[in-house]
Amino acid sequence: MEICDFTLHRPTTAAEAVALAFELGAGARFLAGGTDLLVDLKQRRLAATHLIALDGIGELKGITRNGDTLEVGALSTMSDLGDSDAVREHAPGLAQSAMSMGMVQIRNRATIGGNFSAAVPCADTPPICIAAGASVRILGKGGVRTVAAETFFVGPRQTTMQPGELLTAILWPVLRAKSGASYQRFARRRYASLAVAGVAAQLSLDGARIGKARMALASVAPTPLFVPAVSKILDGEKPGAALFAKAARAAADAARPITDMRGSAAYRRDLVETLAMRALEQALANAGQRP
Amino acid sequence: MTADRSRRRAAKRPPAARRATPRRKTHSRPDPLPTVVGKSPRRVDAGAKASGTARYTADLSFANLLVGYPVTSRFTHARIRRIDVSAARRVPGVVAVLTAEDVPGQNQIGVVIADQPLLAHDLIRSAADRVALIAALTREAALAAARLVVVEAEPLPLVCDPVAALEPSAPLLHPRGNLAAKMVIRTGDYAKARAKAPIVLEQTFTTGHQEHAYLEPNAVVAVPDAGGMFLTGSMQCPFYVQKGVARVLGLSHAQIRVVQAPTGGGFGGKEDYPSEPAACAAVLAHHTGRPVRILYNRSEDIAWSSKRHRTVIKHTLLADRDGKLVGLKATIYVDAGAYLGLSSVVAERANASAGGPYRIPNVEVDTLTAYTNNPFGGAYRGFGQPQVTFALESQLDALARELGADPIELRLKNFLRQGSRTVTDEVLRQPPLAARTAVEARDRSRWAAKRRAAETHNAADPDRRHGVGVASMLYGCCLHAGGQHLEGSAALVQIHPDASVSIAIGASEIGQGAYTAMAMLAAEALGFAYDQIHVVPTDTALVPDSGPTVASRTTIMSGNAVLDAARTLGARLRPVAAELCGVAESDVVLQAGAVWARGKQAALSIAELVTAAYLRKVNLAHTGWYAPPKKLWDKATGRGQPYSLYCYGTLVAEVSVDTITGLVTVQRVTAVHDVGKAIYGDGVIGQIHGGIVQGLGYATMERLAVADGKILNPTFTDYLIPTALDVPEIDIGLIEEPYERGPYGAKGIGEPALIPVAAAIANAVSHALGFPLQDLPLSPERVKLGWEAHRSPAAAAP
Repeated sequence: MEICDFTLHRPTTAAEAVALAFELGAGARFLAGGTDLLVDLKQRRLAATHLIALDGIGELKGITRNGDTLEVGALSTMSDLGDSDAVREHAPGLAQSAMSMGMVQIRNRATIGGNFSAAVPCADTPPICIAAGASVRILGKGGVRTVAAETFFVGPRQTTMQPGELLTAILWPVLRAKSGASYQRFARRRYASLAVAGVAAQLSLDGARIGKARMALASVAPTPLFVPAVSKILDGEKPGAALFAKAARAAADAARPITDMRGSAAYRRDLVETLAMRALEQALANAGQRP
Repeated sequence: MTADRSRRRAAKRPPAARRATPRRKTHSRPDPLPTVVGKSPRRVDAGAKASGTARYTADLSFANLLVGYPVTSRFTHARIRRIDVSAARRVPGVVAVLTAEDVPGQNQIGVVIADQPLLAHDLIRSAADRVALIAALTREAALAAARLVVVEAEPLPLVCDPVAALEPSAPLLHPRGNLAAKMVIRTGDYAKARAKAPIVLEQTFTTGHQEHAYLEPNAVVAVPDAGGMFLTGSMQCPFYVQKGVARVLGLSHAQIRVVQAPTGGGFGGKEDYPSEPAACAAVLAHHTGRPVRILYNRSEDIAWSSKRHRTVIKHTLLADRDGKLVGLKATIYVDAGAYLGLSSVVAERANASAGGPYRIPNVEVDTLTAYTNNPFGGAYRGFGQPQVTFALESQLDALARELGADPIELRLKNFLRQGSRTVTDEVLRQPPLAARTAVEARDRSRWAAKRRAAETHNAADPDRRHGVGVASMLYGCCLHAGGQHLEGSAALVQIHPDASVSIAIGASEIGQGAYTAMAMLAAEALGFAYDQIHVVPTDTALVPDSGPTVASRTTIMSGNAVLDAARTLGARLRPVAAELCGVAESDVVLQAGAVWARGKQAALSIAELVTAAYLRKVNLAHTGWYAPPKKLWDKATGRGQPYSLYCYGTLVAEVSVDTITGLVTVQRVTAVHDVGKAIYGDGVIGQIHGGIVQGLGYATMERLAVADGKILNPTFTDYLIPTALDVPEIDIGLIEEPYERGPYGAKGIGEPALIPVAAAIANAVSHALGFPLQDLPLSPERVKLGWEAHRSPAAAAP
């Protein structure tokens, strides 16, 4: 395969990386794991004359707990998320979604920052982050800003970030007691296959009732899609098959899938309903098991 | 599988009494059973391939090597107005940009008929048609130049369906019409049988394209050599490449030498296709006077190379109330793509095999090969048979459902028997082993218990349903009578003065283990040790034209040629041994790496014998030859003997189907094959494993997305093939009834391993869901839609 000519930069701080990106302008791109970017460059879906490699920036790495927030560095790979005790303990849904993606080689390279920034509709980690109410920390010329995960995506391969801005961390609210999450995806093969549809759900229990519930979808809209209608149906209600079915139908109604070679719009909508049901049942079971 | 193989091996071990005999210093001659054949020594190519020292085409270096690149256009069907390469020629690093008028010989390629321009000049008929060739110092320069080639053309209406292509109103791709080839079978009186048949089953089946997905994409180097051309590359059929290159260069066959490089898989995809990049590289090398290498990347390889043929099969099966088959009518539409390639030959096999291993007295089969603007159909393991097997075996299950009969019992009632007439009116002289494979597959798989368990499970109407299905097949091994002129095969066996041995065969090693099997046969027949035998790369300058490496024919054809050569050399060595041992020639045997005189191991070693023969100026090299007896066959009626021999097999597949998503999971496969004799044990098992996995992909997930003749998914991101996690539990049974003309009794296994897989899986899914599946692949969405359609009347009933 052949890649365009580019100049490689290796800054050592996030501020330096951002300053460089603003200075170099439109021809510059941040390089994290490269599992999307390098393919896009080779297939000429994107062009770049400068690549700013982030691998030398220590502050973008690591997963730390800060009070009720788990700060997940942008350079955390999918394998890091799957292997991290902190993630498995406080963000089990994130570990699950990270391990559902690609294959071992890809998971060892692909980062959560890249998965968000590339903003492809079938990305596996954003929906669970949206369901968890996570937010995204962005470093720009004017300093740091934080946006809710569900407002981060604006279109296929488009986010609220301006050129030059850098995603530095995902801020994940630590999963509370009697709360559970689940990511359910359907792919045409058991391993190493893009999601045809995915559903992430998180809910908390308040006695016998649902406290709060949130759901987001993968691969069935131009962006990872938050479904507020599901929260309206579930919040404060007693969990049960009929209620979940209603929520699952609402999720299917909210989906805006397209027909492509991975599946038709109608098939994807049906999958959303099935996967939403499975995600809610699993999230409920997980919540019940979390003291 | 493991248990089975240990059982097989145990059965072959000598009786305990013989093993217990204490070994004497002078051993008794081993019993006359083969000493190497049937075992699993280390593959001759294992060391180099496992250690990374095997030099594939991309690893080779040549002085002044250029990168060759074929340029395609954005058109699929169009009349060319102008091709402008002037801007491309100006790109720095570009050495040559050639168009049709630069081809020194004929600008035509094609192994059966040369209906394909190497470089399009008036018409573009497919998305893979080349309009120019580039030679450059680097691939980057070649690609930059390729983007600057300007093609102005007037688009023509597309022909994208093989049935519509044959309608009178269809736009024509070639002056002689869109019907590229027609094969028929006319046996008995179908019309009369149809009028009387109590059971008439009509279904239409479709099957999709399949990509070969070999490990190594196409790769070839052409090196100008003393007025001729030397080529090496990734290929199955060096003699096809030799002829194709000779034609485009306007040179004689003798001026073209082709050596097969280590080849990362073929599966039929490297039967005729490598002649195209080879011809391109040769034309560029001829023009520049420099070596030119063409390496496809994966997307180029998927976009440009041949595929398993897409087919539409209109099928009618006639039976009586006892389940006896009385008639078959099939119209098989084969989508050739824009050029004939091997399509007529594939169609010939689909046609001849349409009746499977069954007695069907009244047969009317029409196999119509149609030109379209779709991706081009070519050879693929099974060669037209997986498609017709899927149709016929699905119909047999439909018949079993209609009669309430057990599918295996129904097949047992209809299998060919010794002396039966096949659908091509051939009287079978060798024992047909279909019934034995079916009985063994039934018993090994615990068919009846599994079927009952699945039905009990499904009775509770779960979302995840279970099914168990069967398919049997007959495979006419080696080439069809229509191609029998290509069947002769050669092998050069040369014993060096130090008693090491080189063998060169006309067939190629494409991962199937051919070289290992040949080394084993040579060792066995010479009586030399296996590790004394070396196999040299297949080379058109070393051995006579031996036809293609296809049709599961290598073990039989090249194997017999190796035996011919080895036995000839043995006959030259034995008099020398007899003289040195002081015994009669009839008392001398070479076996298991030793000389045996009157049943005792002689003091004379093989090495001493060879040295003595060498000093006596005995000719220790011989080119052996094998060609099977002539087959009589009538093209007009399809009647006669299409093949020299048949292999039989039966598969039982166990599946689960998620009716909510439509996802089919294959849990377990029992495969029983009639192999004559397994020469290279691990190779046979490996072939069967590989065939099952490749067939599983074909059945369930491999879907080439084609729109307006263009492939939308030329990557492994969206063209999904099975991974290790999709491999089911596999149990293999081998039936070893020696084939009288096979080396040590061997038949072929490469293609039989794949042929019945999709049919068995489809029948298992059909058992799980309760309705027939008519379209391959059984993609999740298709299965789900079928299930919903099947359920909707039931849902409406109450």
